[in-house]
Amino acid sequence: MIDTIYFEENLLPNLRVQEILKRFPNAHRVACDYYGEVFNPKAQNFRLQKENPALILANKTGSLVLPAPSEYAIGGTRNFYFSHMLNCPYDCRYCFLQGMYRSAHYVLFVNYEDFQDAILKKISEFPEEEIYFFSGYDCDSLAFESVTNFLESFLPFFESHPNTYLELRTKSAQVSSLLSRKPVQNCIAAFSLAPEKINRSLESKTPSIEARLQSIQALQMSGWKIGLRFDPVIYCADYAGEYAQLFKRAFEMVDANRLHSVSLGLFRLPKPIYETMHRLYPDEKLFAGPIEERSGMCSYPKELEHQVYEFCLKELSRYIPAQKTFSCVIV
Amino acid sequence: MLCFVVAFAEEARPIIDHFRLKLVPGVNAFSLFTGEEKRLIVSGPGKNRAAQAVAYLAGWLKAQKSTAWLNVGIAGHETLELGTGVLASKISDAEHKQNWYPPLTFDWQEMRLPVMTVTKPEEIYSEGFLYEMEASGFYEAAIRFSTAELIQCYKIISDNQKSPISNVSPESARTLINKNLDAIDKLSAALSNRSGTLEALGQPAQLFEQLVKQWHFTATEEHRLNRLLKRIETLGLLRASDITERLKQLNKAQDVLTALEKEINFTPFACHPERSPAK
Repeated sequence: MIDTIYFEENLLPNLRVQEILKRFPNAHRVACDYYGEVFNPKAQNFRLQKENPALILANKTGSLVLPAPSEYAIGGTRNFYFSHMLNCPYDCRYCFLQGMYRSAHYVLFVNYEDFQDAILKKISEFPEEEIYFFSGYDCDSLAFESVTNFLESFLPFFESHPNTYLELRTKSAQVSSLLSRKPVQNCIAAFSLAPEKINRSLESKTPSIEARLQSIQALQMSGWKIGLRFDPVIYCADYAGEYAQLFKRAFEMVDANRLHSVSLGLFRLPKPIYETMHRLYPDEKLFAGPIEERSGMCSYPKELEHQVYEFCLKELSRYIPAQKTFSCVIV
Repeated sequence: MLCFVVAFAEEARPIIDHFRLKLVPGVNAFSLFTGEEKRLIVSGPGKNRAAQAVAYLAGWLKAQKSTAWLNVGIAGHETLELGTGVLASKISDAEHKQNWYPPLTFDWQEMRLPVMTVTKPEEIYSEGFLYEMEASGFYEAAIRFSTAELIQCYKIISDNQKSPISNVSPESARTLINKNLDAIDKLSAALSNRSGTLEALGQPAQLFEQLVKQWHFTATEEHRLNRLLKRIETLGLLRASDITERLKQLNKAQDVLTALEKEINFTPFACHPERSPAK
C-alpha cells in the first residue's frame, strides 16, 4: 500500500511517527528537512504520482484552522476547517485536490495537539456561537484512519467541547473505529454518496454505495449523528432516474427523522483548478462535456445547472424537510 | 522517448550495445547515440557537464514534458558490496545544500538510497549515502524539461571502504554496468511506459492537421480548435467524416470553432465502462 515514507528528520523521535513507521516495516524511508521539499516542487504530475503515492509525515505550521467556504455550512453560525492530512487514497475524477496540489503523495501532519490548540483558540474567540469544524476538506476524514488514529485523538477532544461540532466527511465504509465507541453527540459522520453508475466510473478505489449505506445504517442505529452529502451531483444521461434511485435507496436505509443534515451541490470547480485537472485528464469525459465559467467558477451551463439542482432538491423534499437540506450552490 | 545520460564512454558502452544504439555523426560537443525511442549522451565527469549534456540533448531532440531521463553511473558507499545497483531515493548537492526527491511511480523492489553529489572524488563515506559526481547536475537540468516522475538516477557501487576509488578503472566500470543491465532494462521499460502515456495524451486531435489546412486559424484559435476536437473525440460525439461533412459549408475559422462548441453543449456525461473495481 505504501512503499515510500518521507519524514521530516526532526520528527523521528515523535511517537506518532514511530508508530506509523512500525506499521510499514517494508516501506522505504527517506528523511527530508521540510515536507514542502517533496510535496511542493513545480515539475510534478499528479496523474502519474497517483499510481503509487508515498506517505509524507510532517509538522504543520502557520494557519492550522481556516474559515470554511460558505457553501460548506450545515447549520452553524461559524464554520472552520482543519487538515490533518492532504490528499486521500481514493481516486475520484471530480475531486478538486487533483488540481489543487502538484503532488499526489499523502501528507499526514502529526502534530494533532497543535491543531487542537488552534481549535481551542477559535472556540474562545466565539464563546457564544455554535461552531462547526470540518476535517474532511483536503482529505477523506476516515479513509486513512487505520494509519492516522485521528479519531482516537480528536473525538475525546471534541467531546469535551460540546458547543462545537466536528464533521467527519468520508466515502469510507470502514467505520469500526466509530462503532467501537460510545457515540459522540457533537460529531457528524457525513458520507458522500453518488449513483452507483457514477461511483463505478468516477470514484475509483472507493467502497460501493451499498457498502457505504450499510455503514451509515449501522452507525445511525448505534446512535451516531449522520450527514448525507450529495455533492458533487454529476449531470449524466438519465440523471433524473439515477439520482431518484439513489435518494430512494438512501432513505430506505437511513432514518430521515434522525438525520443531522443533507447537503446538495452540483459539480463545480474554481477555473484554475478545473483547467489543471482537464490538462491532466484530457481523455476524461467529465471534463470534455458542457462546462462554462461564471465568476471564476467552472460548472454546467446555468440553465442546465438549475434544471438538475431543482430536480434533486424536489426529489429530496419527498424524504426530508427543507430545513435539514443545505445548498452547496455558490451565490 | 528515454534519454540516458552517462559520464564516461566505458560506462555507456554496455548500454549502447544492449539497446543497439548508433553514434550520431557530426555532433562535436558530446558523443551522442540514438536508437528506437532511446537516446544516450556521454557527458564527461562532474555535475556541470551532466547538466550541460542534458541541456544539449534536450535542445537537440526538442525534448517534451513527456521525455524520460535516466542517469546511469558509478558511486561509492561505505559498506555496500561492489556491483550493487541502487536507485536514488533522494539527491543532495553537497556544494549547494540542495535536495531533490525523485517520485517513484512504479514497482521497484530493489535497493533505494540517498545519493550525495560531490565536486571531487570522496573517500570518506558518510553512512547511508552514495557518493558520486553527476546526479544533482543531471537532475536539476532534467527537471527543467520534464516532469519529476520521469527522471531517475541509477548508480552502481564501484568503491567502498575496503576497495577505494583508486581501484576503479574504465574496464571495471564497464563490467559493473554490464552486470546491472537487467535492472537498467527494467527501469528503462518503466520510464518509457510512463513517458508513452504522457506523450499519447499530448498528441494533437485526429482531425487537427486536416482542419488547419482548410481554414486560416490564428495561433490562439489553433489551440482552441485542438482542444475542442479532443473534447469531441473524448465524448465520442461524432466520427471524423461526420465532422468534416458538417463543417464543409463554413467560410471562416471562427464559424468552425462555434460549430464545434455547439456540438459539445448539452452533451451529458456518459459514464465510462467500469474502471478499477470498487473495493
